[in-house]
Amino acid sequence: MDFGPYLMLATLEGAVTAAVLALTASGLALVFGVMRVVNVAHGEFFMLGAVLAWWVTNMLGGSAAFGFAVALIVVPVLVGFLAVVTDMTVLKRINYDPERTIVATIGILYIFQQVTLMTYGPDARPVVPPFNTRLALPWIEFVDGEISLYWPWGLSITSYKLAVIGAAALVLVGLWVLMTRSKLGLLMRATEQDRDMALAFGIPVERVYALVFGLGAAMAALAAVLIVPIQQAHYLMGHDPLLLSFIVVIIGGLGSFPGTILAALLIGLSDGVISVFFSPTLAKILATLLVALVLVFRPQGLFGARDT
Amino acid sequence: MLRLEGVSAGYGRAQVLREVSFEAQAGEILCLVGRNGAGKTTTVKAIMGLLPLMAGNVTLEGTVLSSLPAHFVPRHGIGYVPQGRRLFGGLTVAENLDVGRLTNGKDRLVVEEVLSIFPRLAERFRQRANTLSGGEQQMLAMGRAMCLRPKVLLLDEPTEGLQPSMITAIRDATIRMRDQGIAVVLVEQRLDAIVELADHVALLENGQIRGTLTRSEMATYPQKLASHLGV
Ligand SMILES: Nc1ncnc2c1ncn2[C@@H]1O[C@H](COP(=O)(O)OP(=O)(O)OP(=O)(O)O)[C@@H](O)[C@H]1O
Ligand SMILES: [Mg+2]
Repeated sequence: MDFGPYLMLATLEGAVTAAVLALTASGLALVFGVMRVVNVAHGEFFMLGAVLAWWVTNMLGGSAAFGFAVALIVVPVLVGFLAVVTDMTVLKRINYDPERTIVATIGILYIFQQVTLMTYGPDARPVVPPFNTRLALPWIEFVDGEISLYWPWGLSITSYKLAVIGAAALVLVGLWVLMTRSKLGLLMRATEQDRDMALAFGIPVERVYALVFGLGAAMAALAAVLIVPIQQAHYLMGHDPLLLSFIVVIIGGLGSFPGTILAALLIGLSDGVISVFFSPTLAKILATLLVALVLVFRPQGLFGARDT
Repeated sequence: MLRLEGVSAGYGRAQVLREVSFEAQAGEILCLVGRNGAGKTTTVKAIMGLLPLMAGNVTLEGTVLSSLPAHFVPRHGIGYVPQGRRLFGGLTVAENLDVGRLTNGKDRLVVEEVLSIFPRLAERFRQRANTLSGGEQQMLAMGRAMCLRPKVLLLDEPTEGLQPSMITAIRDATIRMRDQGIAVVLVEQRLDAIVELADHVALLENGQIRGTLTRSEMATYPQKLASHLGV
């Protein structure tokens, strides 16, 4: 394949990574922004999303599309509910203390991981995509000074991957509308700004926290359901999304929603391109290096503002 | 109307308030007076339920507020204008007022009323609160509390660091609230403001109430108040 088509292929692969990463990282950013809780167990909610998606589709049987559609709705709700319970039984009891919540969520990480190992086992298991047509993509070339289209061999993407990108974009727009246009979003943003003043104006802060923690986990679970037909479900699969989400949230600027999305695009696309042309390890090394540089030279994040 | 009975409170194990008792009446302004660090802000936070009480209780028309979770206190009609304003800085003027309105969601007129009292806020309606001037921020803090349609208004040094015209605007709004039958608790340091506004004065010293003065007593013994303020 020529360089041009090859780059386009890498970019499309990167866009799938970016879409899923944007969902996962937004969940982490939401929880950190509103609750000031660094949720180290965020990747495990992602893992549970994938494992439960396998479980739901397997239990239901029937057509792949039907099982997957059910999983897409049921799994984020289940994981979100589990997170709400976690919030009320663990985080609330330690009063959302910033340091103690880090230690507590590390503990939660291992509990979820080991329980999954004990019940689901150590195998990676696939989920059948609901649809998976291979779509050949055109590229342009110049023939005798004229622009013409041709279909290079190997330049293609599956319809499922395109659907993942579309679904992620849709959910992110939905989240943005929820945060900026709804009464619930107003409650969350006010709580984020000043917890005591939120209480002083009648906002049930503890309920807002439980809801935010559930919503954040549901975002990770949804991302996992979307990616599991491409990646397979495994009890250790939460590590990479956790690391990448932290990278994205730091680069994007803590608590900045547009920053998180832009950083997810940057990291996801460069991950795709560098992985295809060089190696996935180099992509991770460069991303980690970028975080170090951002922390030293622009601690508020590339896209974050210094105020508030 | 709003009554404190033997309220003791503090931060962690450090006790600040010792058996503070007073009552604020509807349609009157009670000035809470004391030196820096006397515990005025602590008293107001204790009323709002933002600090756990060590002893005593706070009641509003017979309802024991101090046994309720903090977010129920405003729902019973207590509006709070905190020291230093503490607006939701990243939210717009409109959104700050909406938060004030949360506990009485159906009442849309109240925003119009606040904007007619503070027309400056109407001009800045879609602007973020942390981009307002100090005086505008104080108007917004006051407007946010008025959106609750409170029965009791707690004002913690609302004119601190403001220029005279802004002080007048805040003072006029305070009088207006009193005339509507609201019980106002005003933390104030300036002698002229106290003399002009107060129906009662409660003197706070080292976390204890050292005495109360009525309006006529203030006129008879002006030096008592002055010496207490250290002027
Ligand atoms: N968050 C806190 N933690 C510990 N101690 C505090 C805290 N806030 C206030 N204090 C202490 O409580 C005492 C009373 O403080 P408070 O803020 O109530 O005073 P104040 O009368 O409002 O003073 P000012 O006129 O300066 O506003 C002070 O000794 C102060 O050091
Ligand atoms: Mg004070």
